[in-house]
Amino acid sequence: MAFECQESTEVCFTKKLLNSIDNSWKEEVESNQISTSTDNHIATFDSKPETEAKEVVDPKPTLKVYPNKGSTSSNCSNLLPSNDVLSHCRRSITDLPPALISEILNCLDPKELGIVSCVSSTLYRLASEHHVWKEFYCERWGLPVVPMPQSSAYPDEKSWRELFVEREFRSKTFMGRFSVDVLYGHTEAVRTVFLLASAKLIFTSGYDSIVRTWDMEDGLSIASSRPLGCTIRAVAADTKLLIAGGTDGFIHCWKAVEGISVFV
Amino acid sequence: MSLSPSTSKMLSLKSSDGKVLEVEEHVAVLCETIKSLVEDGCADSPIPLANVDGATLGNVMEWCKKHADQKASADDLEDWDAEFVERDQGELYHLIMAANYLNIKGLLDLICQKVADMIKGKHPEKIREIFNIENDFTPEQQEQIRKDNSWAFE
Repeated sequence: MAFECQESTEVCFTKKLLNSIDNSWKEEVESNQISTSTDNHIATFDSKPETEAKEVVDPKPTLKVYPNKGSTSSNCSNLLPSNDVLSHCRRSITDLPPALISEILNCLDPKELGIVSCVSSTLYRLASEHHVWKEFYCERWGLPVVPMPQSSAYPDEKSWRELFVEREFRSKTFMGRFSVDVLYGHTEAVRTVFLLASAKLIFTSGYDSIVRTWDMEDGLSIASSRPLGCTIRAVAADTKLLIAGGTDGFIHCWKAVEGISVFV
Repeated sequence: MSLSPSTSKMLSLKSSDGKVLEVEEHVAVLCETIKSLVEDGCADSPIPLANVDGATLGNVMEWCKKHADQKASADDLEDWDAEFVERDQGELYHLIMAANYLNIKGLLDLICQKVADMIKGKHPEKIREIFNIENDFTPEQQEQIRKDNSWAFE
């Protein structure tokens, strides 16, 4: 229900209330009346005593007037219980300029930003475009090694959010919660593993003498070597070279070929 | 700043509603904006602060005074700050605006964190209620956005 009261009605309400309540409230109610009718211009009435007066008087339904925004408030009773909840006629946090709202959003984590973006279109825009998504991304995975798909050198900020969310999904760990994936392939004990995080690859090998390459994020086998004839005890790699050391005294070396992810 | 409390002189700050507040210089210079004026030698007459009302200025200076106090321990300040931010949204709004205008990073961070804490762990409906925000999405938009952000609700 919306209370679309003119200021005159509002004063009238307040006066009616004045008559109906104990004299000891009189002073407090008057101060309340002033601050209500003059709305947000008077900051000095934001001080403590007035707030207390309000808390006391608020439960009276006749005082629930919304001089500035008649239709925005929800149920009165919802507004009462928490101290967080504000008196409707003051400046609200959402009146802040976007840059300062962004300052507040800076204090939130990705998940909370996701929730905030569901609140209203303004917050959706602010939370989605928020520059911290790039920081979240870099904090988690470092700067992307490959150029962004947008082809521009500086991907627009919204895409950072998309990248982050997309990658969170792909990596099957959400906000630090890991799910277990089993990589099927090796037929005997694994003796060595190597993570090449920058290329999102895992190399493994062991008694079955086959070096296998896995995609770190979806957990799928990408490639495997031919059997090398002996237990492989060590594997190391960078983006150009993969080297495996076996118990037969030989070192096997593979060179990465652009665009091809198989063992040559 | 090399100014010590004992030698600190007083500055006059004039709020938007014409109130004049006398503040020790070593307290007032926690506001970068005022610090620049002092360094430029422009702080002799009452400094007009057109964007800060008297009540808010009083609150801001209360914070600056506490934080300029070298005897206050970190724990002490933390407790004090926690109490300082227990205010209604109207006051928080004015404090953020003032901290931004006067360029007091510590105070701005403090209040922003307080507001962020009011948001944390709440559902959109609750956030709308707390901050009196109108849900201006169409039902279709609402559904799409909730779907896009479903990961945040897990």
